Amino acid sequence: MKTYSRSFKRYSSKRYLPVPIAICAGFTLSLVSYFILLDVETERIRNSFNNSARTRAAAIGKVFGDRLLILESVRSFIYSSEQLERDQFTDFIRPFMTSEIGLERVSWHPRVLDSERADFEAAARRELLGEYQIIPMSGERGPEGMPPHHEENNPGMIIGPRQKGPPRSGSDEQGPEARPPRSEEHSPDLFIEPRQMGPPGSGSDEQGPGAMPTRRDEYFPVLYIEPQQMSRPMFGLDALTHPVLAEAIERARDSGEAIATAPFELPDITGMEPGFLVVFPVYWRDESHQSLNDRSKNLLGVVLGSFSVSKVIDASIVFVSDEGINIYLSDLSGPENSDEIYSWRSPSQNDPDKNAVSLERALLKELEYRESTEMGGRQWEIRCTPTVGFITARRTWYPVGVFPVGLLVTGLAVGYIISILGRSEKVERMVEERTAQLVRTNKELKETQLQLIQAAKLESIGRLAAGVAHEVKNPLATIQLGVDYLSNSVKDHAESIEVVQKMDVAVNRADTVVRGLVDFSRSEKLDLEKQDLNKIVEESIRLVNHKLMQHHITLKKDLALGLPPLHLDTHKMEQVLINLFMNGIQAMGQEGTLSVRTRLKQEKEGTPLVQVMVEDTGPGIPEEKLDKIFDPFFTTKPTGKGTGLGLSVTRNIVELHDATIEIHNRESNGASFVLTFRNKGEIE
Amino acid sequence: MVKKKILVVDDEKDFTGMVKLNLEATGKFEVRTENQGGKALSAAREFRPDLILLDVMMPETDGGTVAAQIQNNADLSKTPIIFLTAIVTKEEVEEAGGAIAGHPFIAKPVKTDRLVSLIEENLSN
Repeated sequence: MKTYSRSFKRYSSKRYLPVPIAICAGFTLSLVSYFILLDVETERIRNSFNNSARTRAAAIGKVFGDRLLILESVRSFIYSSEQLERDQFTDFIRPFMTSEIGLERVSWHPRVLDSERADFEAAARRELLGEYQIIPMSGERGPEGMPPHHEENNPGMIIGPRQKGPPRSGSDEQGPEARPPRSEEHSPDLFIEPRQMGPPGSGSDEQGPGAMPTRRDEYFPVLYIEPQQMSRPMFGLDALTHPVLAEAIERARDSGEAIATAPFELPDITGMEPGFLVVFPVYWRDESHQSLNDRSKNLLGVVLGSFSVSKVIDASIVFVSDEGINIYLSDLSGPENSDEIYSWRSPSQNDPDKNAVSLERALLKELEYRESTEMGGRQWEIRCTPTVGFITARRTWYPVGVFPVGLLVTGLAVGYIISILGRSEKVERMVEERTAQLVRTNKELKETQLQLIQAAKLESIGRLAAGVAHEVKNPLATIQLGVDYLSNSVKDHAESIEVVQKMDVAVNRADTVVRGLVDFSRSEKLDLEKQDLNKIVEESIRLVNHKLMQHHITLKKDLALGLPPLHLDTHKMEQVLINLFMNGIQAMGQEGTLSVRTRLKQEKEGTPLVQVMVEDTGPGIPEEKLDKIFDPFFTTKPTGKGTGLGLSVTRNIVELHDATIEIHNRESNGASFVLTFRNKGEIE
Repeated sequence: MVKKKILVVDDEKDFTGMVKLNLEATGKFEVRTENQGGKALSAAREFRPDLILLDVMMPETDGGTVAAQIQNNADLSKTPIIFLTAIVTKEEVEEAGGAIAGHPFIAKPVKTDRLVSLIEENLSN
């Protein structure tokens, strides 16, 4: 039973091996799925961001490109005009100014040679019906570094009537961030401020406000400007007097291409706004401008366009919905390490410290889109970064959900496996039990069959024995009486006496054999009564006591106390015990020890067993004969010393009591018989 | 000393002869033998035995029947009977008809000494 339990346990532990494997596999798969989905989602967000950012960059490029096209068309318009009139200029440009946000101001600066200056100014005054004088621009900053843009004082500096573009989403709160002013040496801010009017030719740059410009070879004064309502004070401002513009005009003249100035800050109603100017050269229509010299000589004037970066970006946002992407603009043609000139912050959730999880923080750090584009001879860089809102809007529950779902599926799978294994274990246990039961039943059947065979054998022997007994005993009786008679008749003849005595012994022997046969044939009937086994043992010992003494055999008796009473046939059980004792005594011959023990053996399952052990110190039984020892007429004793029926009768009687008898050789020497009473009905 | 008369009824002629020989050799008994159960009663009536040794299993008329006849005979009803039987167990004796209930029995083979002492014991009773 122990072996069975142990093997079953070992079997069970192996059986349930799939459970930890399934748990590990499920956990690993869940974890792997989580990371894969996380990776997929990260990649998806990355792609989505790149697409959105690319779209934004393209939109910004398109808006700038559209505005440049307007300037290009203005240039073409002037170039193709026979005689450019203010009204024509205004009519041409005004529709664009009201629709194309970002292009804040467009002005026409004819090239005026110094020799033509007086005539030019006079013509302008006539045409304007008011004051007009070529005056220098100022490159200086206003007091305290802030531009003096107050409308009352300098209405001309205000960039026309404000045409509010699409509301800057969120910009009310955050607004376009005006970058800190650039250092003078890197990118001087271009602040255009008209000098106060003074008498013509009355001063120079050094003379301060109101002074007349220094005389130069040529001038590029503002002649036409749109929107002109608010820009009248700017008439006559000479673009060439500002070093940044002078350089741009020179480059535009020499290249024949549009040239953008470095970024600077434009005065706006809300303060300074980042912006830049683009210069378009216009040459005399009928003159060559193929060579550098031609272009230098035949320049008619320049068209100046003023751009507001924030409004350009605002206008570009119109093309694409705000998805939560921040936009930054840098001038790559400027000095290295120069700051971004403008940043546009999306109004969506933009604070990474708020509700941002680690993944979002990581993506915020990682995701960045940069695109550089050339415009007006300068390289610009558009940089985009996502907001927290952009990332969170694209996140799904799949990566986070797959883990608990995976664990749940694992749990269900494990549960299923356990139930299957449990069922299989139950079935196998049942099969094992049934098999064991079958084996038991088979064994019992075999035993029963053997018993039946034995019984049939015994019955035949019994029938034979009864007949033999009757037929043999009558002549034996005759012989016995004859022997008795003869023994009296030959008293004086020693030899005859010996013969007669031998005959007497022979008759005795024959009688014993026949008596054994009859016992054997009649052993199946029991007279059962509740008996104390120890008492029967004691009585049996008493009956063989004289034999023990005769053979000088020591008796070792160890009878357990408190044995339960058994249903026994006292006479038959005595016969059994005497048989066993006599068997031992005869095996030992002279001297030896006969041990008789009784005990109560408690097994783990079932009722307790009562056992009687009879052991001798004789030679034991040859191993090959152990199987036959209980067969009728089998004896290990010399001829004439045993009938071969004693142990056979003994076993019959024992089995009639539903008990068992076993024999085995002791390790030291001698044989050991064990009687086991295991029938439940016998023990009360 | 008056010899006691013993009737031995057994179908084994050799056996009855040997009983007669041994018992008479003691000088204590006068023995008559009968080998047919059916003639046992008339033999007894004629011989008037002090004791009858009666075999159980005999052809035609068995010991039980003979015993019953003797018991039913007014002159013989008090004659003690000892059954002689080749069958040894008590159960078997009972199975043989139960007629020997109340009568002592002795198993074959029996030694003369044992037979004599049993006869004497029954005669004294």
